[in-house]
Amino acid sequence: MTTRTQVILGASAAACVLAVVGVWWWRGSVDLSSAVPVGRAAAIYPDYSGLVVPPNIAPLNFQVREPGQRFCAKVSGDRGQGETVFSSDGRIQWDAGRWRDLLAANRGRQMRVEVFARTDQGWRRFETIVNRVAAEPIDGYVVYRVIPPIYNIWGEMSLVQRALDSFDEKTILSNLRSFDSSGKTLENACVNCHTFSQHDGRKMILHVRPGDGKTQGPAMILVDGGRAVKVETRSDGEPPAAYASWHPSGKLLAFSRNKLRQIFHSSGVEVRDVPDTDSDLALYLVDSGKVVTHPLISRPDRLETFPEWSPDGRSLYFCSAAMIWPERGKFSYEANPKIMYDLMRVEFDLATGQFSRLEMVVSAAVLGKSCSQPRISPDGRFLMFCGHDYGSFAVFQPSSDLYMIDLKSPRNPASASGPSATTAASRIATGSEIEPVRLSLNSDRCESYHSWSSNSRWVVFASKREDGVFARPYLSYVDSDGNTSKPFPLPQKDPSLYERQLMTYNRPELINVPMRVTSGELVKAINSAGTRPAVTGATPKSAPDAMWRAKQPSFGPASQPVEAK
Amino acid sequence: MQEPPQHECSGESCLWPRIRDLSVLAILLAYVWGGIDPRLLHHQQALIFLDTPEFARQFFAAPGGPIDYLTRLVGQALSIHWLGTVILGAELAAVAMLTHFYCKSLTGRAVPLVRFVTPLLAVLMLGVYSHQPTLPASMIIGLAMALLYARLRLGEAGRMTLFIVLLLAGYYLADVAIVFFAPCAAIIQISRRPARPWGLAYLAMAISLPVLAQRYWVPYITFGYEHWFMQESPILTALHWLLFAFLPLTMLLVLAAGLFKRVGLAIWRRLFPRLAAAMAAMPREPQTRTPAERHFAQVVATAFLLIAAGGVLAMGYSREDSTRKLLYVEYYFSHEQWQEVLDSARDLSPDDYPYVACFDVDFSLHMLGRLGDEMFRFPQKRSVLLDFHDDGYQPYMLSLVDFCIRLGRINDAEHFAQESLTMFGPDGRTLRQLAVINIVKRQPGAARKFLAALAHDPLRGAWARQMLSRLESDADLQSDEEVGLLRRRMQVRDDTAEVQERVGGEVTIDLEKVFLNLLDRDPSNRTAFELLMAQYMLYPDLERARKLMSKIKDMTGPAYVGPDGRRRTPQHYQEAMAIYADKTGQPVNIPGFEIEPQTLQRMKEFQSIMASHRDRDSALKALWDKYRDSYFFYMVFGPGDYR
Repeated sequence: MTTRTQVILGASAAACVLAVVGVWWWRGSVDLSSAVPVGRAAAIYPDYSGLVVPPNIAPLNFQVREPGQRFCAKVSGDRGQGETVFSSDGRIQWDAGRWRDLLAANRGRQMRVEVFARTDQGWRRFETIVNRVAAEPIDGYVVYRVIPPIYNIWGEMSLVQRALDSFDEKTILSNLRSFDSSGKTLENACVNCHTFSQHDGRKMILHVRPGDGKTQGPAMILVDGGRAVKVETRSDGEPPAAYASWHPSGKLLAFSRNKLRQIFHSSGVEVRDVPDTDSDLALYLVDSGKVVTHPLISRPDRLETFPEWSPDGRSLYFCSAAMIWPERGKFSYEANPKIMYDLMRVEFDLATGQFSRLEMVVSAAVLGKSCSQPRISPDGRFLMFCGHDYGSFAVFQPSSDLYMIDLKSPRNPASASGPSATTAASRIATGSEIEPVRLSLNSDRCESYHSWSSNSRWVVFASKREDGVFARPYLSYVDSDGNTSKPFPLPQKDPSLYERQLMTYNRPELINVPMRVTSGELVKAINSAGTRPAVTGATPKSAPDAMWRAKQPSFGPASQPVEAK
Repeated sequence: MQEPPQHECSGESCLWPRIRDLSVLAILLAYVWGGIDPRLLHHQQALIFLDTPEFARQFFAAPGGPIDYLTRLVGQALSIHWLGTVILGAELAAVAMLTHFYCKSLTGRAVPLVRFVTPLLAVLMLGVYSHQPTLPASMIIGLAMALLYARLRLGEAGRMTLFIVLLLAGYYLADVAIVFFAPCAAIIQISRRPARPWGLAYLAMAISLPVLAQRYWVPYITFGYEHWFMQESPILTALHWLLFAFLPLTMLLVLAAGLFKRVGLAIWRRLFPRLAAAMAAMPREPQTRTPAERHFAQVVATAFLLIAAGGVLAMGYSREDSTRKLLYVEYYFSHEQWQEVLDSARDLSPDDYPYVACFDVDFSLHMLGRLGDEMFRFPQKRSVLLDFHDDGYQPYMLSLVDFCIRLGRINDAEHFAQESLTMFGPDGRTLRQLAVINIVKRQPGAARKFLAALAHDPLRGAWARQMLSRLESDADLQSDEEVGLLRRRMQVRDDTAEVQERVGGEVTIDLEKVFLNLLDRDPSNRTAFELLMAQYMLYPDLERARKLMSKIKDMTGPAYVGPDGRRRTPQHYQEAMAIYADKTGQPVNIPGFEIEPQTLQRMKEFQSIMASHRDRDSALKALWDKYRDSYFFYMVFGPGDYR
């Protein structure tokens, strides 16, 4: 290369750098002080205005939905350095580092976003968006399923862990793409619900149904640390475990076994419906690997589902409906819209393994809604549940809203110290004394699958409010009095992602310790033969008391749950 | 490789090879245009493409993804007849050119005919329609890499490194490209002096790479290496094998022939040294040809080549004739070109007239308002309706969803469209159906979501953007006539319990009840009326047809109102009711319905011809010309092809 060539190349490179710097400087030096006020807030997507946001949330990127050739947004707080972003297509994407610093500096304070749009008439300035940064952080991760709207056929579905302070997503398990060390995949298995113990990603269970290869059976996968084992919860002809809840001790979990069926409505907003034709509850004892049940949670005349332990481990809440099917396990279109689930509670003694005092917490008849998916805040104060017109499959019920009860309310018998004089039978007959509150965070579309943060101040839930078809994870702040803030969708790097994404976000669960198990380990466990514990039928056929008292101790010296059958 | 490079032609002698090349290319282009029709390829292969980052991302995580993405992008152009022809023609020309240069690099001279065979095989494969869409582009990449490998002058280590880099790059970019590249590179290596065994190592590496990658990197690949060699039809599998093996085997033969010649001469000289010397010393007569002779030879060679190519293509054309005709029916149906559906269905042979084609034809007749007048001009089966069930055949699902939408079974349409979306991916046609479904259901939010996805489809994006803009100003599209019609028809009472029956885990649908419920909801639902009437007539159940006919007064459109504004009754309905009246002796007095005297006269003539022939065959012959398109004929001779 000659000297002359080198000089020319060097000069060209310098000119390019200067041009880039010049453009950058020019863009940043736009004078917005003369912008004309519009007198209203800008239309932005997603709607990130009037929120309470966690101090550890990823940048709330948004798209300005106003006419204009150029757009600008400025974010600032009472403290710290703000940021100004320009955009030609309306997409406002904040710098992650500056955003993090701004939130950290403004914990418990306000954060303001100013939006500008340039039209032929010059820059226009919209009303400032004011959000509040909460003092309490949200858990670090949310784990959800990303699935297509499933009818009979399912395609690719993934279990995904998303860091909430960034846009980092990690696919924990994909039914098509995950594989074990021998190269074996899940053969399109259906990845079902996941349940964590104490917001700890290292301890969880996961349910799967077999895929194309049919080499697996429906199974519960128990994850502890980096290890996963398959637990067989089926007995002959009976369904596998479905909805579950970990006891705070981590020694056992309660689960439901449901005979679900899918039907399709020929009219109405939601085509799908999943009636539960037979179900009851059971316990899985982790150390012994046994499954036990009890008459109070598996009554022949009731359908029990959605177990949820209280944080102290002394109560098991669950949903229960009168068995009004023409016969057990037999579906009828006439009965389906009449199936109403009450919210029940039963006391439990871990030391003895004894259940006692079954009582109604919320009567479906009184509420006028069927209850499902009870979830208690980790501080034990609030219980949030879904209320919908009938049945238990909230995610296919457009009427599903989130309700909450204050478990520490003086009107709540469960909060009173000492044993209540009310018998279970009379409580069931009279109904609840607690008035559930329909939360302000609801929309006119389906809300379901809510999950509390470990500090009880945040809740994430799946909402179909945008369109009625695709669920998105929404976050909301819950103050100490149980008031919820305006919910907002989980932020995405590309703010228009939700607008075109044809997948649904299902069962978001907040965790503060990330999952460690590898997808290979999960696939290996799912494809393994598994262990088969002693199991009970869907509903005990023998006399309840005799069965309960019949057999050996399992994890307590006195009265113990019985290994069923 | 050792011989000095020779020019294939020079000066005037270049003319004929060029004419030959251009002629073959012209024949191939003509075949692509008329024999294959790129629009049918586009339709059959349903190459989904969306210009979103999420869509792109899924392709770049697995081997073969980049070429799949590129093929889908370029494949959108196949929907335009001329542009698709140009693109496929360019691909074939590239295959021919790369084959030519590869051969030349290997042997030092052009190998006759070889460059024509590879594109010929490729075009035959295109004509099967269900081939792996990425194969032509992968072939180009594989051959280009082989050429690069042949041209670069490197030492042994350098060549080995280059091979490994190209192998890995080729596998990632265009997976099956390595099946073209590795054997060609191995032959180059084998033909080098001094001989090295690396060629075999190359082949071993090429075999191991996809096996190992699929085991330890990406076990889930849509078209894994197992699918490279086994296609859904034997002819396609044979064509794939031919494409894979033709060039390496030919080159091996050419090289082996040269080797045999050299070895043979050496043995000859060793065994008979004197004789060989004497023969070598003998003066040779120069083989000279006059320009006219040379010209003649070139013409003959070109003509022979063109005839051979034309013959092969004609065989391919003939073999795929029924597939092509059926694809035309499906193509026009999916584009709602109803008259073209009927025109192309006329070409279908009786043996290749599947149920879906029957439905497409009847539905097109319905859309044109001619079902009640012309349905028996086309082959009919015992049923005209599609069953409400999932099917792995995408055209069936597309037709089923359209059928449900037009009927007013909007929730069923949503069900099947969502299944279709899950099974076949975000196909623009399905996204459009889902957008329409949600507009009709007054769910503008969901409609926007499907439209927003569809806006990224290069072909239907403009329509989606237009609809999005319309939804902005009128969220319910209240003013849209078509939407209004579908909303009037939409089933609003949940009749699932009435129409569904579960027997042994299988759900069956009472379609008659479905249609009657739709007519209860909207008595003017012409789709429900005409298709149910057609079903009754085909079954045949004239008693029920008679009952249903009472709803004819609510029907509107050119089938029921003549150009003079007077009501008319479609011909087949008259014929059916004339038969009913004749059989039962009960006159058919229905408001809005009339049997014209000519119809009664035709029936009498028909009956008298029937009566005058004792056997069925002779009656059929006698009635054929005048009555084969009538319902009288169908009632006597049953379902069949009476064109």
